[in-house]
Amino acid sequence: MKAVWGVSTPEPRSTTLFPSLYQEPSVTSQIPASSPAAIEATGVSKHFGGVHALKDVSIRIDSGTCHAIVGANGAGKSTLMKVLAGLYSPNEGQVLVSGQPLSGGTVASKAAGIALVHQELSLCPDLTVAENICVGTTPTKHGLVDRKAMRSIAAALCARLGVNIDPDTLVGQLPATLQQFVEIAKALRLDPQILILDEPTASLTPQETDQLLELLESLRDQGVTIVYISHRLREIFELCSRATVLRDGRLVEHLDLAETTTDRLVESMVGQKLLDQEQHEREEKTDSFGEVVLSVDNLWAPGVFGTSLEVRAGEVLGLGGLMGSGRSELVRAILGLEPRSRGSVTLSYDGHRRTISSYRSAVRSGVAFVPEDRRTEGVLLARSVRENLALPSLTALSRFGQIRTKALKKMATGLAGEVNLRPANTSATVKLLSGGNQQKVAFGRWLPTNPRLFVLDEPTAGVDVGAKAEIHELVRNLTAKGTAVIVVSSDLEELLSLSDRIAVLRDGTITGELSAAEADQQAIVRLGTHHDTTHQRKEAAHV
Amino acid sequence: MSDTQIAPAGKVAPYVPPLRRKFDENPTAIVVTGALIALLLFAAVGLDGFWSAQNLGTLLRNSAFLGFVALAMTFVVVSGLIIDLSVVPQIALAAIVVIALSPHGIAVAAPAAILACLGFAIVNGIGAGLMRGNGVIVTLATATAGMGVLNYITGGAQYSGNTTLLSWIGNASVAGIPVVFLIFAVVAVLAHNLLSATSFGYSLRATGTNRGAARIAGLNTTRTLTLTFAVSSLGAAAAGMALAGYSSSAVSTMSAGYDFNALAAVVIGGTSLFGGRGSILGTVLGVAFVQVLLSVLSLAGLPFQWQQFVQGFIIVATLAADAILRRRGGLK
Repeated sequence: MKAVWGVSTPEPRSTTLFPSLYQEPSVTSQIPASSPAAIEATGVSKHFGGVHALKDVSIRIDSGTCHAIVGANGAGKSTLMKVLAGLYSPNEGQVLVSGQPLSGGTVASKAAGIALVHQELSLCPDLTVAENICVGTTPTKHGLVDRKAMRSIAAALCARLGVNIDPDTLVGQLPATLQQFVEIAKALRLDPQILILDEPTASLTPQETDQLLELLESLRDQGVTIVYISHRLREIFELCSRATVLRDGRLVEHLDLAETTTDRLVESMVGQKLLDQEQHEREEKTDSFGEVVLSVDNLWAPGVFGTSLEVRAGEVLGLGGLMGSGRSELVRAILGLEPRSRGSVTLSYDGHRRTISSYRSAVRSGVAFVPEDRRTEGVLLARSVRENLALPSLTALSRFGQIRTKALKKMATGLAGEVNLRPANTSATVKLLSGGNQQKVAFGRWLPTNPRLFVLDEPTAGVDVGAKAEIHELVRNLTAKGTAVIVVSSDLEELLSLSDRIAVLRDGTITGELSAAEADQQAIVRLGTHHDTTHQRKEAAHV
Repeated sequence: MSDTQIAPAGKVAPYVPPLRRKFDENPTAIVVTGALIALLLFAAVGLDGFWSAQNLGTLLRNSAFLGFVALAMTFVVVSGLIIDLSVVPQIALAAIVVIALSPHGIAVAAPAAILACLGFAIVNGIGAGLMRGNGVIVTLATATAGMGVLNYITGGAQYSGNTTLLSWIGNASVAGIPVVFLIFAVVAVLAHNLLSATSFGYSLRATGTNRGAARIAGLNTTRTLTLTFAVSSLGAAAAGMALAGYSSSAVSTMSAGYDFNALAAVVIGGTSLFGGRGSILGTVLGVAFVQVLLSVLSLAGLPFQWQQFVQGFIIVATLAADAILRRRGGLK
């Protein structure tokens, strides 16, 4: 029998993963069968090419409730949202809205009373609030746009949301918060029965978030069913009664939030696997490193708000945090790739101090960088492996401006062996290599420059397991030679197994540092997500 | 068996005939070679006077004048800047400066002409390199402004004069081949080396392929692009001085059309307008094709306006053919 709702009949695998499930039977409490379902999905799978975004996920959302969908980056939350909203047709399984099967397409989902508020704002900045709200459903009179009706529709919706916005304002002139409200007003235009929101508070301040949450509560009280995605656990506990946890595209469990703690939810999001292995790797690590190679003091840049950090020779500093937490912005600001407004970055080794003022000065001072986006920045896809490997060493390879071809070939062949490039043919075009081998090129080309600081942004994104292990090995070889390393990664297991120390970012600032001994997945997620003391008090009240 | 390729286990690389391999690398160049041979055969059979010594001399000389600009333009196209429109005022400027200063001797006049052209390179480099402006727009601006200043200063007047060396370069022949063409041949070899075998050439191709990725790899893309404009200015200066030596005169309107003809030669030679990929040999072929075509069209008595039409048509046809052939070859 397949469990459509809850984990009352969990698959055998989950019993080993979540032993705590059986200590807390209340978590799996069934809801009365008589309660009407607003949306019900059964055995939904969705894949894009060979990538499975969702695998056999079932969910039931009760009418007139707020239901949260949570999970780490890439867990499949947004895909599930789009399946529920009818934007994607599932490859397997089906979605029932008020008991009726949902056919694909936005027109059908609008007809079924579903409105989706996307993660990115979908407003036209050069149109007025009224025009944006009425896009696609513009009222007309004698074949002409009825501006009067349009304004009154917009004014009525804004009044319903409890915000005071002039319908004739250009959306581009509104602050981000009010734009978010306009986005929601637009979603409410067709009087939806179901409102799906994907990270609606990402751009909002705490006060603005509270305002939005109040609004959503009042909508819920008006009978609207709300499906809510957010990384901010506090909001989920305040607003929602139930949560569905996804991990790696699979359903983990459904939780009754009134009977769940933050730790319990975080544990469910990240899982418990490989804890022993991580522990083992951590025990091998030492905490005796060399001199401070990189010191960043009170750095301010777009998306980076007053950050300081240090990395020592032979040490790996991991940067954790959710997508959009400012990890990439921080490393790019350190490297001089983004303009800084304040702060200093210095590199010191061999008794010399060098200030990093631009990316060129960073490279000249002995910094190597493997960027996040391999295909547009990491490598030159249309060029050969040999040319790619040559670029950081052009000066060393040339005599009177002339490239010494023999030396270049020798270096390329040597590097191909060092990073175990497959195929080892260095005249092949990089485009034809697998992602893992492309990444080895992006990494290996810096080795001849003998870098003192190596910065890796998502070094194994989209890389197969074998190449991933090889890249990890290369990083360990670097530190053994005394190179300081910064690793940015969304992959918590990677972060834990590579790092000697982990700094966790949220909203552009470091919220905490964890030593290898004290770091685990829960601790990283806890530092990276929003849940403040008010919630903890609330939680205490629940217990 | 020394050249036997060692293929991965169990796989034997399929044999590709040399001509086929060349075709896959640069299909346009092979097609253009065929068209050029056809054009020459047609001229031999159907046109009186094409193979005359006088016509061939003119053909080679004109090829050299256009060739200097086209060789330099190849670097601009490979760098991803698409075209340097400011070569038009630069050619005229170099010619006017070298003629105006010819009483002081070539040792003064030639460096002055080159320095004047490099002024354009600096402005272009600041606009398209440092400020990251669009190469076409930046050079359109410097071309328009430069031509305006040139017309104002000269008042449209024709300058006359020459030096013995310049006159010899522009008019003399050695073993029946114009001296200026021999110089072009030497410059072409140097340009080939600069593009394919130097540190600058590697940076240039990387920058043209993907400027952002080249920057991340530690290259100074601003310097590379400014140097590219400097190469373009040297080409324009060479063409301007050679033209001045040939005709012993210079006027600001003398260089109209060199920008587009040079680009035509580069594109016909198979250099990609998307940047990153190009060949000097292809450009030499393109220059030959453009000049032979122009010669055939004028000998055939086609009015000038129709010659322009045919030129424009050929460029569009080449770009279309290049795109189709490459898509079929799976290279783009």
